This record gives sequence, structure tokens and C-alpha cells, in this order.
Amino acid sequence: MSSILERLLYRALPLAIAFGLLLALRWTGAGVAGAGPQSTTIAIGFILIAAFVGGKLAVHFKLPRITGYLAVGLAVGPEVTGFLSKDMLLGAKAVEGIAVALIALTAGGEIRLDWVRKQAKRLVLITFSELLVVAGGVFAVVMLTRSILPFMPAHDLVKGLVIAGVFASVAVANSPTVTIAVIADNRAEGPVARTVLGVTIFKDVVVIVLFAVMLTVARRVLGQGGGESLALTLTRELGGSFLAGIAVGIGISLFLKHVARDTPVFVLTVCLGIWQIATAFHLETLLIALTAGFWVENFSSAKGEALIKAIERVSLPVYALFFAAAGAKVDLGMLATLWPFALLLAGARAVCVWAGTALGTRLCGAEPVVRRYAWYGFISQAGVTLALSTLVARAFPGWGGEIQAVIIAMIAIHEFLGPVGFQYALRRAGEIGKAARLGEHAEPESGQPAPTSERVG
Amino acid sequence: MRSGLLLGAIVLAIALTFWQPFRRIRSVLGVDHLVSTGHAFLALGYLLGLILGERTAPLSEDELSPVVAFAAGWVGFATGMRFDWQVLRTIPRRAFVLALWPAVAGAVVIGVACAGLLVFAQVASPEWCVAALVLAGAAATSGPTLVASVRARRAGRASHARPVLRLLEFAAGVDDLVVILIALVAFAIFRAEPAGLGVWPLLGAALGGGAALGAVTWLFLGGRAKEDERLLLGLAMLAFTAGFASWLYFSPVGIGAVAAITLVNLPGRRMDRLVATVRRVERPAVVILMIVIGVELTGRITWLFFPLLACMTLLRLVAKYVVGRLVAGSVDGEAGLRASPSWGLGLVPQGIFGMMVALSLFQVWQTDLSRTVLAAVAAASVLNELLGPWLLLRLLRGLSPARADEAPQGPVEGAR
Repeated sequence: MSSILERLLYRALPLAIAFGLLLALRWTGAGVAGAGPQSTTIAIGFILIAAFVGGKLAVHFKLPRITGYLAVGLAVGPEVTGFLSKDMLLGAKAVEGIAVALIALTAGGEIRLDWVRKQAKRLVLITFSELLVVAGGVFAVVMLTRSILPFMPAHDLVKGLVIAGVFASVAVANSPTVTIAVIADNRAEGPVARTVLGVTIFKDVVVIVLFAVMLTVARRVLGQGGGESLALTLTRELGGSFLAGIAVGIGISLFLKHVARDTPVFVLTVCLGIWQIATAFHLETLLIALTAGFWVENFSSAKGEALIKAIERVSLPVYALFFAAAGAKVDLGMLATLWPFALLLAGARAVCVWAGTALGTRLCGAEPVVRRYAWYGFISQAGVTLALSTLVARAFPGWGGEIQAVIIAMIAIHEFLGPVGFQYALRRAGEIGKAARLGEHAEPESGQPAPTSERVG
Repeated sequence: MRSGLLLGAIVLAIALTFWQPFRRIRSVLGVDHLVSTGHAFLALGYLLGLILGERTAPLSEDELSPVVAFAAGWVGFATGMRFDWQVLRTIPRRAFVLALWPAVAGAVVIGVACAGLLVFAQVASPEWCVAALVLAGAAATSGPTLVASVRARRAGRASHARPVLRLLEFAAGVDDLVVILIALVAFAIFRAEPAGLGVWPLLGAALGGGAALGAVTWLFLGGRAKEDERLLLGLAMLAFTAGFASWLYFSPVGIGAVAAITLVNLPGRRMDRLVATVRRVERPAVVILMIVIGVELTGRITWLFFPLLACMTLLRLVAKYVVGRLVAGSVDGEAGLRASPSWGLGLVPQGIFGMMVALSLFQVWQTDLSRTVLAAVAAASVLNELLGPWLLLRLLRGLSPARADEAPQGPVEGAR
């Protein structure tokens, strides 16, 4: 059977039937008619089907699979076709919470203490040089273009400086989930992948601290104090997350050592628990899960590697759902309105990321391949940035909302360009598929039935 | 104080359930198989529900509903995969009928008794009918886990025991067909009035929708895909199938099963590419559902629970035993199966499939009656599983070695 015919028969036709079935359900108004939790399951199902096809299509065009997931999410989401409504996607919140925890648990398990010790200087230098250059650069661009930016005051210089500072502190963040997903998806291994992963995770912690400091300073300068103190915020959000992560890590270690049964159920429960703890106590899901994974990998006598391998085997559906849902939430309306500002600031940020990474990699004497390509890995922005912008909007009604709008528009750009750029970097660095070659054999695509004796009746 | 005690109880329950050194204690108590069947998680869920109590749980019903629908659909799909006509047709028709008799009889007896009870309690129509059907479905099913574990032990390896155990396992597999049919009918009746349609069109929509989704999965599986992509596809189709059922207030268990039956019987044996994936996630799905059921049972339950429980335990046991006795001997030795006079006792363990149907009904119904039905089915399932090992050993002891040796190996081995 020809390749095109095969694609039409086995991809386009069933997708069209599923599409038609969902369309029929919506148009006839039968059953729940699109609202309520009953419609979430079919939304998740359809988004996963579309992600499966979109991922295959993206690979065909040599793009990261997550770009395919984001694109199909956008296509079937409320902004483009409106095929899946916002109500239908509301119930996917629990799945997203589990997904973030699962992704971070994997990332934590990938970080070995001996590697961190060896590369500490590199991580610190790249992280801080990038932070300084990006924050400083974006701050300068915002100040220089303040007359055209909608969220900047025309005459109040002090307020303008504060707003530019808050904006810059949000702009430095990038997306650990995208980084981890692209590395895992490409089975990448090598200095670029490791450096980008290490710096991204380290930067995630630093950005949260920086943001908390900036938010507190801004509140005080603008006379909007009354919130809790900086020390308390940092202690609660970071200290609490780390402590919770260690506790979860110890729990996982005990489980692996003494039980080691029903591990997938246990991991899912742990991820749900992490998300619930983070929601209830205003902690960071990402940090809790990262710490837990790190603890299991480095301080546990249990077989942490087995846990990570088990998670990795089921990671694709998690990434697919997470990124397709993220694509469905991309605010195109906002992008359409604010694209000139978003493009200007995204461009400025990209230049600063390149300059900051170049400076950091030169200072630490990184390999030429890292100097050349690592910066592509710091472009992406997603969940963390969105969360920070939401906090700004909540803390500063008025201009905070305008900042959030511009940042959401920037995220829309970075969400699509980031993975493409990072995969390009990994390919140029020759790191794609190296993990598969080193660790496990890559499974070929199969069109034939797997031989199995497991027939039931 | 109360929460602390309950938390301690949860820790103890987890330790008893999972910790290897406690395995001997579980074995002595005769409850080791309850971990495999998933019933142990029911107790964990119940304790968790008591702790949560009246507090506002961060995870609301709205967030839980898609997970439950998905997991229920998954269990239905995993069950439906067993009905491969290529395998089933190798089994003599008489053996098939024999295996179905106790299930049908159990369903009829319990259905009629519970319907009478619910009408007597002045439960409105069609609620009494739907509730009675769900209870009938739960009564029809029997769990194969205990039989499978006994087959691996010395008592089950004896040559005179093997044909009877094979029949029990076969019967425990095919009686799910009765549950699937009852679930589809019950949900069609439940939906008929609000949808303004008859039962038959709704039943047709459920069967047609399930079959169409099975065909879509079959088409997708025709293409090339890596293992992780197959997992993604499997999850996607199962979520879509369960979502289709939830959208129309059909049973995710029933629709999932119909989709799987369609898929497994379409040409090309493409189901084989999905079997490992489905099996890998079946266990998590069961555990999630059992915990959810446990939590739900802490809600308000009416007095009807006790008579319904009596029907689901005592009456069900008697029905299975008597019908088993009446049809015993009809396939003596044929196809490697043997029905001893008291083989019906081996069908007392109830398994979990019926509970899944009751849970799906509760998810769309959300009334005290539906919770009471769920509670009766769940409690009966636990009691029947506890009673199961004793009854099965009694059955095996009563077998005659001389006659059973004549029973040859048959195609049912391959049908399991």
C-alpha cells in the first residue's frame, strides 16, 4: 500500500470519523451538549487522537512532536475552530496537574548529584549571566520603548521603572516542561541537552526567588504593601516545596524498597498527591516533584532508575495531553491585538538570551557545541511564565492585567518557536537519539501484529 | 483525634495490603487475593472518605468524573477484549450454554427479588427497574481471580480438579457478556424518558456507537506506530469511547466492551497491538475505581442496603448453587471441562465488573438510591470474595478423582 494511501486510510479517515462523531454529538444537542464534567472525557479523548495524528505529522516535517501537539490543540481549541469549548477543557485540570508532576518527577530523577557537583560552576555562571543579561536587556528595552507600550505610564518614571522591573523578572523565565519534553521526545543525550536541562531547572528556582523579591519591592515602592513579607513568601513557597519534595521522595524510596508493587498506580497517586498538596498550601508542583525525583535518584537505596524508566515508558501520552491542552488555551485574540509589542519584546528577549548564554558559556569554558547551540534551549516559555504573569495581574490590578496580556501574547510565540529551536539545536549538536543508543534499543515502528500468546476468551 | 485514628488505620491498611512481611498474615486470614482483585483498595477508599468527611476536598466531583468514566471505560474495554469469536467458536455450544446458566439464573433471581423489594419500598419508576437491572448484572458476574490463584496451588493442580477449575474460569469469563448486555439495557431505560426516546433507539445508539468506535480504533491500528505511540493511541481511543458514553449518559463499561468486542473480531488481528497496552493500564484503572467507590460509600445510604445485601449474598449463592446442580454433568469431560454437582459454589466470588457498572450508574444518577445500590454491590462483592476461598476448597474436596481423570485437555485452555 502506498504511503499516501496508508496515511489517508489509517490516519485521516479514522480522524474524520471521530471528528464527525463529536460534531454530531454537539450539533444534535443530545446528552450533556458540551457542558459539564461529562464532556471532558470526550474532549481529552479527541485531543489525544488529534495529538497522535499531529505528532506523526510533525515528525514527518522534522519538527518536534510537541509542536504538533500544540498545533492540533490550537486548531481544535476554542480560539480557532471552537470545536472543543473552554467548558469541555475545564475538567482536564486534574490531568494537567498530574502531568506537570510526572514531568518534573522525571526531570528530578535525571539529575545526578555527582554531575551537579562537577558542573556547578557552569550551571551558576550560565544561569546568572543569562539572568542578568536578559533581565537587564528586557528592562532597558521596556524603558526605551515605554512611550509605545500600553502598560507603561507616560510620565511617572518611578512607577515605570518598577513596572519594567516586574516585566523583566517574568521575561527571564523559561519552560522546564518544554525542555524536558523535547529531550525525552528526542531521546537526546549530550552536553547541550544536559546543560540546558540543568540551567533551566536551576533557573526555575532562581526566577521564583527573583520574582518574589521583585513583587515585594514593587508593592512597597508603589505603596501597595500589606501582603506577607518577602522572607515568609520565600520560606513558604520554596522551603515548603523543598520539604514537601523531600518527604515525597522518602515515601517513594520506602515504597520502592519495601513494596515495589503496582508502581504505575503508586506513581500516579503520588503525582495527584503532589498537585493537591501544592494547590492546598500554595506551593510549587514543579519544585516538589523535582525535589522528590532528585531525592529518589541521589539519596535513596531503592532502584530509582527503575521508577524513572517506568515513568518514561508512559510519558508520551502525558506530554501529548499537556501540550495539546496548552495549545488549546493559546490566546490568539490577545496575540492579534498585541502582536507588535509581543514581537518586539520577544525579539529583544531572544537577542538577550543569546548574548547572556554566550557570555556564560564563554566564562565557564563550555564546549564549543554548548556555546553555539545552548541558547536555543532557553527560548521556550509556558506554564511558569503564565503563572508568574497571573500573579502580577492579581497583585497589581490595572497595569498588571496589561502586562499579563503582553506576556500571554509572548508565550504564544515562544511556545511554538521554543521547541522547534531546541530540537534544531539538539540535531545540530548531534545529540538526538543518543540516549536510546546508550541506554536502550530504539524500537522500530511496527505495522505488523506483535506476536503474543495473550488471547483471552 | 478521629482523623488521626483514621489516618493510622489507613497506614495500617496500606502496610497490610502492600508490605511483603505481612504477606503471611494476609495468607492466613485468607485475604491475599483481595489485593489482586482490588477489593483491598475499597477499604482504603472508605477510610479516606471518612477522613475527608464533610471537609471540602480540593478534588471535586467535577474533576473526578472524567477520571472515573475513563477508568470504567478501560475496564469495560479490557473485559470486551476476551470475546474473540475465533477462539469462542472452538468451544462446544453446550459448554457455552452451561457456563452461562448460573449467570443468567443469578441475574433473573436477583433482578426479580430486588425489583420486588424496590417496588415494595415505593421507589419510583424507572429508577426501581434500572436499580434492579444493575443489581441483576452484578449478581450475574463471577470473579476469575480466586480460581486463577487456586489453579496455581497444589489443590488446583490435581488432575481431578483441573477440568472443574477450567469450567469455572471459563464461566467467570463469559458471564461478563450478560453484565455488558444488562448494563446497556439499564442505561437505555434510564435515559429513555429524559431523552424523549424509546429504549430500543437508545440501545441501538449505544451498540452502534460502541461498534463505530471499535472500527475507528481498528482503522488507526492499521498504520505504523512505535510502542509509545500505540499507548497514546490506546489511551486516546479509550478516553474518546468513555467520553462518548458519558456524553450520552450511557454506560462507559458497556460501550467500552462493545468497542473492544468489535475491534477484536475485525480482520487482521490488530487488537494484538493494543493488548499489552490495555493490560498495562487495567490494574491502575481498577485501583482508582475501587478507591473512588470506597470514598463514595461514606455518603448517605438508605435502609434498603440490608435487604439488597442479603439478596446479593445469600440468594445469589443459593441461585448459583441450585442452577449449577441442575445443569451439572451436561458437558462431563467435553472440551476438557467438567461440571461437578456443586460447581456453582465456585462462582460465588463476585469480582469487580458488576461494581463498575453500579459506579457508572451512580456517576450519572447521584442519588441516595444509586449510592445504596453501589454500596450493596460493593459490600456483597467483599463478602462473596471472603466466602469464596472456603467454598472453592469445599468444592475441590468434594470432587471424585477417578472420574475427573478421564477429562482430556480441551480448547478452553486457549480461550482464557
